Amino acid sequence: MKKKLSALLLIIALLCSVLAGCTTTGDQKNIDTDVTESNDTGEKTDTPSGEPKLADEQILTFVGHNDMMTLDVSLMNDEMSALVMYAVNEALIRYSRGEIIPGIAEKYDVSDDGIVYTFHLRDANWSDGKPVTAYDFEYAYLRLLSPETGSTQIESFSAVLNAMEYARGEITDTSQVGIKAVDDKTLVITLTKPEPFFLEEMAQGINFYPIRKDYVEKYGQNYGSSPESFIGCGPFVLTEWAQGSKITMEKNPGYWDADSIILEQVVEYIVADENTRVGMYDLGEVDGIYSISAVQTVKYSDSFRTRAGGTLQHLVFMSREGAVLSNKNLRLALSYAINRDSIVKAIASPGTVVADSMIDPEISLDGESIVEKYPASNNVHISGDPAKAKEYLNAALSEMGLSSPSELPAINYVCLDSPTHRAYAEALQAQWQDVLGVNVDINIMPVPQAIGSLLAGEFDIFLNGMSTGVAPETLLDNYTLHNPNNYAKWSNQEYTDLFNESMNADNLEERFTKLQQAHQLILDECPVSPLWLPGTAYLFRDYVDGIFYGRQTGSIEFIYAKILEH
Amino acid sequence: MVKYIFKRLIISIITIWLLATISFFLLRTLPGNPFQTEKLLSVEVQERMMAYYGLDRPLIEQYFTYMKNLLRGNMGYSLKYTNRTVNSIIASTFPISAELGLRSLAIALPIGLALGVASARKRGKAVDYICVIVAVIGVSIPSFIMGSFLQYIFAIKLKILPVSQWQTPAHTVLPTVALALSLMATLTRVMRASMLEVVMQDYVKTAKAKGLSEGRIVWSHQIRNALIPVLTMLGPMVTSVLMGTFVIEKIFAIPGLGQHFVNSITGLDYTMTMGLTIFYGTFLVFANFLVDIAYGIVDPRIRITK
Repeated sequence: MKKKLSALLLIIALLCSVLAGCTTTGDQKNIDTDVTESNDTGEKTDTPSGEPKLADEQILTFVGHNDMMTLDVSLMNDEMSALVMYAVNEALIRYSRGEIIPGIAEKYDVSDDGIVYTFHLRDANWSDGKPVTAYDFEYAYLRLLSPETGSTQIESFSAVLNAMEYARGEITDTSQVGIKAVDDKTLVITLTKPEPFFLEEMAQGINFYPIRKDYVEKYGQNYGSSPESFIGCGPFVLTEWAQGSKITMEKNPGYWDADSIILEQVVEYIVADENTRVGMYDLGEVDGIYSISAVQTVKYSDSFRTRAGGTLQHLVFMSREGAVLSNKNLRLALSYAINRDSIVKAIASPGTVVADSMIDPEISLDGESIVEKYPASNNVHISGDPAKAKEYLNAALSEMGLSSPSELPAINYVCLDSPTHRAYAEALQAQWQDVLGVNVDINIMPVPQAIGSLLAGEFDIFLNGMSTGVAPETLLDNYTLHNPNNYAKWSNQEYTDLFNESMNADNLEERFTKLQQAHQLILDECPVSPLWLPGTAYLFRDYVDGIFYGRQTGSIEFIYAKILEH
Repeated sequence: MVKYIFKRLIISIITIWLLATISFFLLRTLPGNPFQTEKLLSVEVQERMMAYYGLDRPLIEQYFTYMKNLLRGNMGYSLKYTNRTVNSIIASTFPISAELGLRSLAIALPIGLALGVASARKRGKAVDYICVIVAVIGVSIPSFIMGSFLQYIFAIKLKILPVSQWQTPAHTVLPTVALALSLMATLTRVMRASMLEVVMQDYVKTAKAKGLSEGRIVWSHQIRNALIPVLTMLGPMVTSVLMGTFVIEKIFAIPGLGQHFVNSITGLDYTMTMGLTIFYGTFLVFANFLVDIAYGIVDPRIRITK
């Protein structure tokens, strides 16, 4: 008995020491105290005292969390593929450091009516030395649209004449589609109507790269599944893709602007576990981490940088006739009760910004933010407005003939099964309970099931995150009458009319004014309630210079980066 | 023997067919579809994708198409890794997981069994307690803690081994040990329990009475018989280890098969999930078949020819 007891004690002691050993993992801080960069958005600036010296070895290594899915630009739909494609390929125009710069197209003309875009290609070569022609672009764009290809990205071309008709199989004659290579050096794109945001779409989109037809024909459906079955014309050449593990890119000496490219090699490791990624960074095995969680930003509080935008998270309230939240005042009560600021500070990823409108403030035309010029707001204070929320709640209760919030029918909050979404749901639930005494049931579901519920309208509250796109109406478009993507099942004739008037407007002033009215109307009616624009945090050593974090997903731009002496 | 093998083969094929059929229909009863991702696609695009992959056809028609392709060994294209076939994904990731698994087994099997035997032979002595402690620790510490712990000590603190990745032999040491520890612990426990049971058996007493040497009793009468439960466990254990472990592979960034088991089902990648289920099932059936043959070798009482 005594022996057994001592054995047991020994086991406990051993276990404790093992566990204690583990907890010290988190204590290892400040390995890199030399990093002094502030956690600003945007690019690092050189020290004022002249040009910093470059390191002898121009190799950038960083670690990401996911592998890329494909190198086939017609099928590409994920951040990590877009990140690599930005470096190993080049479209007609490029989005760099927040503006449109020339790519393979030396210049472009827009017709006076704003409908015909003519791109004049420069002398540029594929990485095997063959010239890049306008036909490569025509082929790529038509291939993406073809019903034979199975691309999810057809809507990127929705402004182009007959593009959607061709994609839907309504027409089969590609000569009717507004994408035409006139000769080797000229590509003409015809739109249905003037669309000033089309250039932004082309520059920021991830599917406007050229494709070599002979490669597609040679590799068939396996095109773009390995470095051998892919060819690009960008500043870098993909030399290695060890799937799930490592991606290597070498500088392309034949790139037309090779003089601007300083890095010789870029290596991306793919490591799913965050502690491992941080370990690699601490040991100096990598120069940067593609994205870090809120937890790690505490450890690297003085060195991480963030970017926000590109996605808007907002609540969708089921507003269909008969649903609990068909009562507008109840929806408003819920919206006013939310302390967006506290949730962003406590839970959201670093760099997240509170939103009060359904248009991304960064969407702009000629350098002017659309929503700043044509403002619309839900008028909710970033810290919420409990007094007003209660007013709306009381109005709602008397309209519904109820005396207290506890008599409200069950409210079903469908939540995506992810740690951040769960945390958001719990925080919102607590705030509604505290401020209004309204109880909301959280129903956590795996992603496909949760999205299925959203589409089927089987929810009362859903926290939705959507890309804000490049045009101001991207999110507002969904909520017109009978739109299959009207997730709130909200029907408002006035809104639909205003929105359609905006879309059919003859001039930009009218288009944005009508859109502003529609925007204000949807915020007042509250079938959707904007919450915040989620941010992402990055970590790079301060000797990595010239990394720029673009707004759109996948546009972290390392192509002009350089390694300083360290 | 030939007849037995033939019979087993038929049963195996039926088992795999049942497995494929049941999982095909079960998978489709899950709500949602593969194109309902967090990055929301419009309803039009979702319908387009369902039609493109033939997922809008009647389920029974899809089933026959799938089975027809499966008979030709074609498991189709993954719905997530859009231009890679399930076959090619398995072909490129399985060898990595299998290598890790084999390395771990090569360590865990001999050590685990030896510890089990030693522990049972010295029951109640210090050796036994040490073995039991090691086994309890190995079994009860989850592999994500063991993995991170080894990583912290040997890679981050001592800097003698790489943190992650699967490149040189040095890279394989930590994941192999992390995986081997829990396997070893399980084997030790089973072997010890099994040995203790055998020690009491009549035939051991008989052997002792016959005046056989201690070594001979242990080797031919105890260990051989005690191996039976271990063998039973070994089929599923080897299969699951060779198929890759999600946690170890994640922590050490090993591009093995393990991640796909989890990701394909949460992402509703139908073809990938089906492919993995069938691959795993076939492997398990085959492993159990080998175990059945091994029974006969170890224990004459269950010779399969009877």
